[in-house]
Formats: sequence, C-alpha cells, structure tokens
Amino acid sequence: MRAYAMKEYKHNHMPSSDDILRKKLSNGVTLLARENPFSQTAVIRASIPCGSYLDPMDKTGLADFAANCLNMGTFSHNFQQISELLESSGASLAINCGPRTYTIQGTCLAEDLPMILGLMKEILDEPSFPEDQVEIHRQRVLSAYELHLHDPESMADERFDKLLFGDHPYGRPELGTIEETNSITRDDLFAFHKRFIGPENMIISVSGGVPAEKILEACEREIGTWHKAQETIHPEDYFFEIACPDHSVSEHIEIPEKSELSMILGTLAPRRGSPDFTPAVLGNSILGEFGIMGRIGKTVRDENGLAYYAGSSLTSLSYGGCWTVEAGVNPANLEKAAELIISELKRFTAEKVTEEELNDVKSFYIGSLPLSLESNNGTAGLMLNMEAYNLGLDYLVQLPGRVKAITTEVILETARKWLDPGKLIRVTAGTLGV
Amino acid sequence: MNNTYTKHILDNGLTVLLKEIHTAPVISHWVWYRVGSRNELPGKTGLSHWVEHMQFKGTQKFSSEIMDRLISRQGGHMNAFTYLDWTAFYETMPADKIGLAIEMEADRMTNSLFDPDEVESERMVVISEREGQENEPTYRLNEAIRKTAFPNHPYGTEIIGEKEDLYKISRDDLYEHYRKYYAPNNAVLTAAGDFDTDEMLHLIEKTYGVISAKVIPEHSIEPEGPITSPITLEEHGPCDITTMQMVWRAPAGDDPDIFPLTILDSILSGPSSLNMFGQGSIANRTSRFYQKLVKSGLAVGIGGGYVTTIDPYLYILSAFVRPGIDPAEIKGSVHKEIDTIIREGISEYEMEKARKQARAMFAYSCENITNQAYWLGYSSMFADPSWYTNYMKNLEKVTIEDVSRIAEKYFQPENCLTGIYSK
Repeated sequence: MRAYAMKEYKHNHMPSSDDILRKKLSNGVTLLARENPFSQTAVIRASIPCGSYLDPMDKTGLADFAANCLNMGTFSHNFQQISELLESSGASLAINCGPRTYTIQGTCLAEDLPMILGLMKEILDEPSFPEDQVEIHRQRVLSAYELHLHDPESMADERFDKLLFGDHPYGRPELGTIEETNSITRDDLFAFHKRFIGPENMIISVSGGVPAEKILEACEREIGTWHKAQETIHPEDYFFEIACPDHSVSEHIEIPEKSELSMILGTLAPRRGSPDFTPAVLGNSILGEFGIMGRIGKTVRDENGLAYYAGSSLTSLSYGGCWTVEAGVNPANLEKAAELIISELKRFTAEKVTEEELNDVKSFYIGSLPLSLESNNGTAGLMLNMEAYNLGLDYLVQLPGRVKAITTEVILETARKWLDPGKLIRVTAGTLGV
Repeated sequence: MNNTYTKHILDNGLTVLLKEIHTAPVISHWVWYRVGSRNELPGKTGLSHWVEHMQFKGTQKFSSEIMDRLISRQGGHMNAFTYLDWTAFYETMPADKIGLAIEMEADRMTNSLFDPDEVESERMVVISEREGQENEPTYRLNEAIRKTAFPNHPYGTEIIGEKEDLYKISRDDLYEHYRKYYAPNNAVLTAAGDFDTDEMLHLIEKTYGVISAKVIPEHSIEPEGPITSPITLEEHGPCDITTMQMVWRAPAGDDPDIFPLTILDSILSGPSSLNMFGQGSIANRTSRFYQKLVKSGLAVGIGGGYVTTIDPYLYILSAFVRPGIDPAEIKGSVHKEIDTIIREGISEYEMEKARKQARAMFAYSCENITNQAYWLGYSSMFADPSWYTNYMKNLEKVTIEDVSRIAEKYFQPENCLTGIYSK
C-alpha cells in the first residue's frame, strides 16, 4: 500500500489544556471556553444534574415536561417575546432532558453570546410555565405517547431497558403514561423547578468566535451572579450498582399490522470512565459497526439477507450503559437471524479478532476524531463531555496513544467480561400473530 | 468570517479554489461538474443522477468495495449530490489523509468502469428510489407543479428522471454522458481546511494535471418565461393532511434581485439556510406567514424559500392545511399579505431583523469546514465565488423600497401557480 499522506501532520489542533480556558465562576459553575477565531457564531452546551432520575414514581415524565416548558415564558418575558428575542437575532435555545442531566443548547452569532447567556439564565431561573403553553405541550406529549405505543423499535427499547436495569434510573421510561401526563400540574412544575433546577454542579461549555477571556467575562456577568436555593442532589444515591443478567430473558410485545419486527438483544456495558470503555468501543465497531454494520451486518444482512438492518451499539453513560445488537427483520426470519447473531457473539467471545480488523477500526476511530471538531457544536459538546466524565482537558490529545495500545487480547478479555451469549436480554416488538 | 481564498486554473482547464482554515485538522475536498438535469433532453432524463451513482461502482484501480473501505479506514466520509445545474462529489478527511481522496476523485474523473452488470443492478436501485419518493404526497405535488411551471425548460423534470426513461436508458447512454461532461475543463475543484495552499496546489496539479481537457458540448437552453395565469392544480392520493404549494417564478442565482428576495423571504416565511447541509435553523414563529396562517389557525405549518440556479427557478411556499379549512382561504390570506407589503412596505425593524437573520443563517452555514468548501463550489455553479464572499455586503445594500419592488415584480397573484394535494 502506498502512502497517501500529503505530509506528516505536525500541528496539534485538538482542543487541549493549551487552548481551553477552564474556570470556576464565582457561584461555582464550571466554565470551559475555547475561541474559534474563524467563526462568527458561538455555541453553548451546558448541563445541570437534573434529569428523569428525579421523576416522582407516580409522575414519570415530569422532568422532561418541565424541561420543555422552561423556554415558554418567564416572569419577565412571555412566549411571543422570547420567540422574538431569539428569532430577531437568528438564535436558538433549547433544553433537553436525559436520564441524569438537562442539556441546554444555544446557538447564536458571536455578538449575541451575552444575550443568549442572559436569556438562558432567565429561563432557568424564573420560568412562569404559562397555562396555555403548558396545555399545548401536554397535547404534544400525549400525541408522542400514542406514536410510541405503535412504534416497535421504541417499545422494544423501553422494555429492554426495564428488563436490564429494573428500578435503576436508566430503566425508567422517558415518557409518562396518559394518566401520568394528565396528572402533571403547573404546581408540580413550579415545585420541581424550585427543588432541582439551579446552578449547583452546572457545567457550561462555549466554543465560538469570541476570545476565551471575553466568554469568561460574559459568563461571570450573566451566569456567575445566579444564586438560587435548591436541594443539594447526590446523583450517586439514585444510580445504584447493578450487575449483568445471570440468565437469559426473552419477551415479545405484540403490535398489530407491522411488516418489520424490531429485535434488541444485549446486556450491560462499561460506564464511560471505565478502563474497559475504549476496548469495548473498538470491539463493538468490529462486531457491528465498521463498514456496513461489521461482522453482524455482513452475516445477517449481506450473506443471508435476513434483515433490513442488523448491527451493534454501545451506550456508555456515567453510571453504566448497555451493549446491544439491534435488527429489523421480517417475522418469518426472526429465529434464523437471532441464531446467526448469537453465533457471532459466541465467536466474538471465543476468538481474538484479527490484527487487520483491529487496525481498521483503530484507524477509523483515531482518524475520525478531527471530523467531530469541524464545528463549534462538535467542539463544545466534546469539552462538555471532558468535564462531565472527568476525562481531563488533554483527553483528545492522549486518546490516539491509548487506542493504539489496545491489543486483540484486550478486546477478547473485554468481550468475555461483558458479553455472555448465554445470559442476554432479548425483546422483540411487532406482529408475530401470537 | 475569513473570506480569503485563492483561485488557480490548471493547463487542462480545471478551476481550483482553495481556502486555508486551521481550526481543526480536517480537509474537505470537492469536485463539481457543470452537468445536472438541466443538461438532459426528453427521453434521456435522469442520466446525470444515474451517472453519479455509477461513480461509486469503481475503477480499475479502486473497486467499489475498496473505495468506501479506504475512506472509512482513514476516518473520512464521502458522498455526492446531483442537482438541477450540477453534480458534486466530496470527501472530508483527516488533514494528513487527503491525498487518498484526491487520488481517488481524479481517478474516477476519467476511469470509471460502468460495468454492464452494475448498470443493470443500479437501474433497479434508481427506479426503487423514484418509487419510494412517489409515495410521498409532497413529491407528487411538487412534480405536478414543476411540469406546469416549466413546460419547455428541463427544470420541469424531476432530477431523478422520468420512469419510462429509466427503463430505457442503456449502459452506452450513461457512459457517453460521463465521457461528455466529466472533464477537468468542465469542473471546479474546491478544498477548504488545514493545508498549506502551495503544497495543496502542487498535489492537485500532480494528480489532476495529467487528465486531458475535452470539448464540452454547447447546450443552448432558453430560460422559461414568467408564469402568466393563476392556475390551480389538484392532485389526489392517500394522505392524512391536505398539502398545498404556491409558487412564483424567482430570479436566477446571479440576478441582483436575489438579495432583496432573501430579505423578503425572511420577512414572509422566516430565514432559510442556503446550505445543502441545513445547519443552523430557528423556530420561525415570528414571520408574517406564520402569524397570518399558523397562529390564526388556517395552517398547521408553513415553510417558504427559493434555491439559487443558473436559470430562473421558483419561490415555493408550502403549507399543511388545518383540517376543515378551505385552501382558498390560505391562498387569499397569502396574496393579501403580499399586497400589504407592496402597498405599505416593511418596517425598519423588519428590515434589520431580516438582515440579521440572513447574516446568522449564512454564518451557521459556513460553520464547518465541509460547508465552506461546499459554498466555494456551489456559488461557482450559478455565479462565481465572489457571490459567496460578497453575500453579506450585497444584503446590506438592500433597501425597504427594494423589498416592496421585488414583491411587486415577482409575487403578483396572476403569476402564481397553486397546487393542492388531498384525499
């Protein structure tokens, strides 16, 4: 193979401790800022440790409901005024609820960064949860729930999480039932806001065409002055340790008139900060991602034509995650496809992957890192992860060395530690006619 | 944003536009051919799109399997697009691996195999792609509107081609189209990213410079005239909600009227990104049409916009009609709102808001390196790169009177074609 490289790449443009400004604001909020001098825009990615794990047991979906209503009105600006403020600047601001965090994403022209930071603080600090907007949102949630009940993939995912994680927060559904959604009141939203939404343990990451020191100044002025009494939360109290399944479980959810059946098969995965994380990422790529969905895609789809899609994925979060194989199959092909998948998992946990396979995915993994830094959005997201998962500011610089050091033996050890083909959770959803 | 780029023309006629950006170790490399559905004749529609598909089927040096694997292994990604006026191929790669993309793209400029078996298997892929699109009500409505809006011009045909043509087109037709239009003197190469211009140019000259120029066929195409009568088309088929489109003839991409139209579009429908990748969008809840149509309860959602093309194309307003509402009410409301702008003009506040929105949309669309290389090439297809570098300057020159003038010139009710798709 000839060398294609134009030149040996000599410059290091990865965000690192050399160019990321990391500071604590005066109220304790952690800021990561990086200037992108070629950009006229700025992206904010922020997180607060307030997620669906804080849902009361009888009001699943409350955290998500509150997140979506935060920017629908404050005691200073109504819905129309907030829309005008954002749109007249060509800006956007949204809040998403995850299992452990609220993630706030703002995009604006660089000159409007102080305005967006100020508005972000306002909607987090003084939401008015206007009655008309709360009702409009309730109808949206109810419609989404109806769609979810008829969506095989979504139903299979939800049941899989429940069987794998049980009462752990990762096992809780994202959407509440119709009764739960209808039971959410404005008082619930105000109470949730009062208890849990505040600057404690907040992280803000900003990348854009603004010098880092100016970003710091704006954040200090707009966010650093935010003080709000809130309950001190210890997420680790909610996210207890769980173990891999000790036997296989298989369930089916019958949904009529679906031509494709969704199948999900899997077990627990290492958490994001675990030493097993990177070997698991590389191994998973060989198993069901690289090229056209790795070994599983090749066997199930290309060679046997049994599935519309078949591949594997690894989801690693702060307190654990899941390692899954997912496939969309014709009901007549279900058992044959499942057999082939199990046989690939057995091979993956019995034999070392080849050197060529490992080299391919190492190159892909290291090579594609810079592509995720093309935009302010990518950079801000990566910086937020560095802080949220305690990866360190030089994580990206050190990552290629760590990846290169992983051997075929380590991949096999990791696969054996986490994947036991005889102890998997399997859920199918769709029309079997049973 | 840094607007500096360099332009070079190689001896074989290949135009090379290079822009150094050192924010991330990434390079995006594009080759744009001046051929699209605009260059096709009745009976052979869909050639450009199908040829684009065949460019992924391999050369002697890079088989189809190897192409994708080599790019993925290096952490890069590749794709291609066929449009009305052009066909473009790109690879975005880690900076030190760009040599692979350049070598591969230069190779398929002239050495694609067009294997007869691959042509046949791709025929079914393209036909299935068309059938999949036909299931969408908006596609069927759009196709009917285009045929009526362009009775003579090739813009009246869907880029994917007429189905009967897709059954008839032969391997030789495809290969001839490829040999005719895929040449350095009919192409623009754009690259943006973390490179040194001299080194990059040297590599490009070494790789592409050996490819010979060709005589490119002249194809005289008369622009379609204005829509001259207010026709209403009705299409029926399975759907949950009635969809409607109102279209007017828009100016060509290099027409100075495009800048006032950008401001008017922002005021009427909310700003649209001019970017293929659609980065950066806002909720558009404060535009005039949103307020008059959605907030008032006539429509469930609306969207409007235009595209920049060599010949005049269309301004398209789409609306999802609220159940129980007569589409004629929406039509009346739209014409009334435009008439208000023609008679009363827009406010200074609206003007400033639209300028700022346009600036934001443009900045978002230039946000990543791939998009910046895209813009250099895209603007070269209907104007030249100065269209892109002077975009904001030209928007700043637009006056309130210009916006009213544009509304009057292009948006008269008698020049509007309406299409309705319902059960």
